[in-house]
Amino acid sequence: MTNKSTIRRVSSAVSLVGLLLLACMAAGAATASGAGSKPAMSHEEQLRYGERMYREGILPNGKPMQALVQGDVPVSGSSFTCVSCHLRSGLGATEGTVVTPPTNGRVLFQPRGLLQKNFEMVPTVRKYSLSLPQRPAYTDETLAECIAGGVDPAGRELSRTMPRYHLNEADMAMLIAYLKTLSDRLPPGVSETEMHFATVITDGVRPEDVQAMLLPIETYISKKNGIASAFKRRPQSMRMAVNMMGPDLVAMKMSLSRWHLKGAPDTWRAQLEEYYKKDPVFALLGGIGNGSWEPIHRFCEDHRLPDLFPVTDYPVISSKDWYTLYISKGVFQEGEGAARYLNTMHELLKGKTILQVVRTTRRGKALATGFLSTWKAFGWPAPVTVELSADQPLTPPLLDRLLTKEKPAVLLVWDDAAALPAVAALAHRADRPGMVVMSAVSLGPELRHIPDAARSYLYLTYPYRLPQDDVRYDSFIDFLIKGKSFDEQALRIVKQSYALGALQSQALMEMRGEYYRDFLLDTIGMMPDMDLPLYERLSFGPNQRYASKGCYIVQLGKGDKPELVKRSDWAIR
Amino acid sequence: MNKTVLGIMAVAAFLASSAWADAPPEIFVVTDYAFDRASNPGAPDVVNGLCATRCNALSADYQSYYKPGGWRLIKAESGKKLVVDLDNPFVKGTCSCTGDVYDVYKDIRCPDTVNKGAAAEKK
Repeated sequence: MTNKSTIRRVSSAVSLVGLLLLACMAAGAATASGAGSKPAMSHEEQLRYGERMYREGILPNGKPMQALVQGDVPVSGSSFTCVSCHLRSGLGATEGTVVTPPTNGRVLFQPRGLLQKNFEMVPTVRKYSLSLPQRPAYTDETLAECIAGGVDPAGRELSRTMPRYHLNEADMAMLIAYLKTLSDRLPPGVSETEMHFATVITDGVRPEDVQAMLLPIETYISKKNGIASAFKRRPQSMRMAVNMMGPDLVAMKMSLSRWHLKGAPDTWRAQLEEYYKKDPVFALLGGIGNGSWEPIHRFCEDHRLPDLFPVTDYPVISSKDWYTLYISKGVFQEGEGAARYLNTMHELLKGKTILQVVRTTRRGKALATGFLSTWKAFGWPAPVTVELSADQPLTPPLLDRLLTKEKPAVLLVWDDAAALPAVAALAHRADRPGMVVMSAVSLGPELRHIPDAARSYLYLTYPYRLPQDDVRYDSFIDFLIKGKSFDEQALRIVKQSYALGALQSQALMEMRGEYYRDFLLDTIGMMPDMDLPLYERLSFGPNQRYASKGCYIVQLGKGDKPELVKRSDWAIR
Repeated sequence: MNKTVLGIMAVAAFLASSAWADAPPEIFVVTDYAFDRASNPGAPDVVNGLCATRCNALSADYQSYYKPGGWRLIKAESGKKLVVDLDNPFVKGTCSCTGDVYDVYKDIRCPDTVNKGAAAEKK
């Protein structure tokens, strides 16, 4: 592979890149003649610029980095960012058969051997290591040559899909300085012997729901600690566990603190800061709250602290935030599902009115927001919206008046079960809307008691796997719930929390002994779909933060013990 | 092996083999769909997509049998065609949903994982 002609070609390429670099630097110096008068950049500033180059492919001067791929194809660095392959942690990626090496300073500045030390016999790590070539340790100079010329310190040319970046000396130095900070020291909450977590419980949650959330997490931790104890007593009997987890994780104990947040949400931040100061943790696991998760979400963003699968109906909907992974978009997702379903028949709804009756509770508003934002993203005009205050009942006469005035083809009722009598009364109205849509979750136990007359025109958003199908997944959680009693809501929470245990245990096993927060999230982003109770396929693509993306539209079947009948597939887009 | 043990084994085998002796539950896994144009010649093109949704909603998700384990699906019929009403309040017509029919058996190799599901399925 590294024959003489290749080396000559590489050397020529490096020389050429070097000349280009010099030219760039000269040009940079010329254009920045005023730059000499600028104050020297602080180290923090340099790291910020380095981070921007790594994550966004944007130079300190605000322009996109320039690069070549496949030998001579010019590309913009903002399209071929470092982070898209080496990931946020810089610890590399495995996607199918493609293995991307780590690019963080701690790993780069050490020689790479054939196998990862202490993980020689762990099959997953072994396979990963064998996919990467051996090489001497990088230096700043050889790393700069590699980034610019695509040649490693062993003289080996990198894959031609790795862009060769044109950077001037100062920008290159900033990028390398940033790489040195990536995943460079163990985060709080992790030591060689212990991994410490916390779970957040806010005021006002039913005690049985708190227990339902804690049960799978504490069971998982207890089982894991059992393995660690057994390993300590008789390591030779735990060979299979060592092979699955690696020699470090198998011996590691785990612990979970409960952070109770009391009082008004605007006081939670201070409480969280206090908890975190006294009791630093690697990540937050689960957690439960009745209201918005925003204060905890923001706290985690600011402290770069992962927060996995909190049980909340009101997650923060964001396409940019990174540290909180939600199991779904909660109530918002039902509104989104309704919009996706109606979009399949948009041609039939052109010129017709959609009326949205919204109870101005947190739930009603989240449903309406989910619908509206998705509906508008499809390019359709906003529906007519009528808001009802929390204490204004939706009576049959009121609904009659609204329908007489608006004559909608579709009526969305974002309200709870108290609206059912008014909806059922529409059965007698000749010009009732073709479809009435409500949230099945908002109806609670009344879902099974929808009056017969309304079942033909009432469509429901249902964000879970249908009960008659989900029963086949009961075996997953039988060991947790055997001998215990849970109502429907608590059982759902057990299932949500069980998904966290499955996600967490799998992710830790795939982290190759690199227990860094960003790498935990990177690893979860690379995991294949999971088939678990309650939700149809759970998965995170790169940068995705909501594992369940779909929603069914269902109707209630006929009879005293009706089943939910699908009217859509698991609509995800 | 004495006669008592053989007798118990025979009864167990009979019970296992006759668990679904009457009629095993069936599932339909859709493979194709089409709007029946003759059912409403003037219908707009969007009905094809609506038939996709309608037929997919009739389809069982075979993964929800395979993934939890404990189930065996044995193909009973290929290319079965179901003609169903489009069932849409804004446009009339019928859809042809084509798919395969599978008989669903509980896998007796892992009985603990399936009892509850099997009972639910039988209902």
